[in-house]
Amino acid sequence: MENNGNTKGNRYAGLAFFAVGVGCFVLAGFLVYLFSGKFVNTPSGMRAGPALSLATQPPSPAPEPASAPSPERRAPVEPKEWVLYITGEVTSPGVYRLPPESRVYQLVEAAGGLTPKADPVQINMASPLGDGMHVHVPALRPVAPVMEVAPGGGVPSPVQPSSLVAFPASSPSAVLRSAPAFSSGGRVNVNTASAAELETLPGVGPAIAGAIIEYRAARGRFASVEDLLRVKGIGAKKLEAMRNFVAVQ
Amino acid sequence: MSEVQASAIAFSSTEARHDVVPFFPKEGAACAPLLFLLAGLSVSMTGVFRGLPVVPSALLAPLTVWGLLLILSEHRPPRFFQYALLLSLLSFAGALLCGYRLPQSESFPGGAIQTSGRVVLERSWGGRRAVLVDTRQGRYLMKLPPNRYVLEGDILSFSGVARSIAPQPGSSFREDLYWSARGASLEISPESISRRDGGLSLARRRTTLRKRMLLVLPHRTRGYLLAAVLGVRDPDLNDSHRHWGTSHLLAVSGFHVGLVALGVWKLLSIRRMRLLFSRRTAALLASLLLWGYALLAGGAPGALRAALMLQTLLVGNVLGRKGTPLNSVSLAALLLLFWRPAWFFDIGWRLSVMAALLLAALAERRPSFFMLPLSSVLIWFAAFPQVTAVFERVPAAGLLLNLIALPLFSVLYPLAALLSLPLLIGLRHGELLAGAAEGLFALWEWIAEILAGIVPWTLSWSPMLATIGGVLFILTIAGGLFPLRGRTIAGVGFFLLGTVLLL
Repeated sequence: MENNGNTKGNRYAGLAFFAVGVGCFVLAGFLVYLFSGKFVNTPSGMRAGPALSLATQPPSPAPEPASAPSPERRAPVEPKEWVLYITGEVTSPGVYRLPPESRVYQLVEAAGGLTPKADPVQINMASPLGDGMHVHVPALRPVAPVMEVAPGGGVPSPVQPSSLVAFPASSPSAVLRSAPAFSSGGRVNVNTASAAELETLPGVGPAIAGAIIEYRAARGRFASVEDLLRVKGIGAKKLEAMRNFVAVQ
Repeated sequence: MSEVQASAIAFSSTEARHDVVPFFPKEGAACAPLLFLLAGLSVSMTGVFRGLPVVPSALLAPLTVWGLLLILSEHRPPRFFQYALLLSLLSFAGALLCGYRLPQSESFPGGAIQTSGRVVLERSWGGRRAVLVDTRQGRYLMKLPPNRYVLEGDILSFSGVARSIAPQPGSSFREDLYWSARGASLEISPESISRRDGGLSLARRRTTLRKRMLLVLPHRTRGYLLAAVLGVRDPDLNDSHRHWGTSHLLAVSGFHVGLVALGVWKLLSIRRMRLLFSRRTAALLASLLLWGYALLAGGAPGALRAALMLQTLLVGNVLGRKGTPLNSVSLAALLLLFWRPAWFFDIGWRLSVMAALLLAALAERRPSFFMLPLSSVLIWFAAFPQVTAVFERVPAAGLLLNLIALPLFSVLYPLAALLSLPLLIGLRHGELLAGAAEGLFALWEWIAEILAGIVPWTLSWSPMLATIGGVLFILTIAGGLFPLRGRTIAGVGFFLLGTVLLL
């Protein structure tokens, strides 16, 4: 009898705990109901991210939405002239003072123009500048590492590894295929590469390699990497995947 | 008679004599206390995501912990309430910590920056390349035009304007949370960039290995090994696997880390190795290999979660305190959340934790021959709501293909890596072995195409399938913690209903 009483007591206790557990969820639901959507639009005031090493001056002020100017906020004081720093392949690298709203080409002109070693493709001459900005003009990439092929058909290895040279990725394997004399800048030249060579590119199988060669035979050389988009089977995504590994010469 | 049954009978007789509440040592909170913590934290984080302020959201965590413990625990061990109180306090503290550390929108107004740092990640991002740069001031995101090639391991010197990463307007994809999970909260709009070789680093090793694989391996083997070893996906392979419903094979996950762990374990179990290394040395060696692989593979959430889980099991083994699989998975998931709370919103983290919890819950029961196919089906259903919510459609072929894909790839990946090694290190005639691996992958593709042809349909989000998935998931987890009795089933039903209604 006593044992029965204990069992019954345990059962009631179990049910009571179940009910308290349900109560916890009900309370949670009440909390959600109480606070749901109440504070969503309030500014958090939090600041995420690490402290920045800011340039000497605050940036070109971020364009304020014209519709909501804050009357309390002081208008940013525009400096009379911008101080700009240019390095790299220009005749006279250094610090220059230019009028506000200048662009890169003006800074390059002030620095005496580009040297013959400068890579004009890698720098956007029309890009707008900001006060305190540093512009670096990169040099043309050095000659690509020529993949040396051992006479016995060993694995190719770069003769002249260069830190500035692009990823010499999809050169064909000397073991599996012929010597990679076709590569330009360590990349596959789509105007001269064979089907086997093209197949070394990411996302390119025999069908697409064949389509590239067919296109080349029918319409002539590719003028730019983007021309590959005209080849059947190459979409933007595929071009994106192979872009770093192809060259057009 | 199992250990649990024996202890149950022993406790029943003790109960009769001493009026003690019966207690199953391996049940509920005594089996996996951290799972309750994880459940509380998950509800709290969902609350924050739905717009609740941090403190009320954090209060949801202890309420969930108490609620789950009380409705599911038919037997209460001694000091049950002290234990539950501690868990609920921990869950509240954890929820506060995670809630406040989640990125806030419009938190940084923008500013000019000029610094330099190492590229730790480079991947395609729509029509551009996304680059993460580690600088002394923190980790920054840059999106560069595709013609500006930047490699992992390079040092970039740049100047530009820094702004908080903002979610795309009109898109459900929270780009800020995605990058926050990867350590970046600010995006740089670069105005000038110069690049130089970064010297020795893990990122540079990744690039070198990637280059080597691209250069020498045949294309299928290259694609699969790039995915498994470095976490780099080949677009063609990715499309095929998406069509077959087996994309998870290409994402470095617990499956891959588990294979590495199994390999290491087998290696260290050889008698000669056991004589050579003490248990602690072997555990240290295994840990180094595990973390080496997880980091080489790009530190994907699934890989990190699996490495953490296996690490806790290894440490527990060395210390003589063996944990349960459910508790180890929960610990790994919690550690990742405490490190970067935004992982909670990462689909990779979610699917990885979900699959690992399911497998761990099944492992708590008696393993049988049918466990493997059953787990594959369960994972498919449990992942269905998440996958369709993110990717809109899921191929039904995955249900069939995963039955053979997982066992097949658990052999194929190590075998292909082994067969490709001679060619990768430049041994003569290595191409013959690599060709064999290529043939095996071609055979798999042929089989997969045939099977995908048998089940050609794709499924979009459906409330019924999502409910089935949710019920199966929670029921399996509860079944790993408690014997599936009326109270457990009722508790699961109530929890599911409450969660859906509340959130």
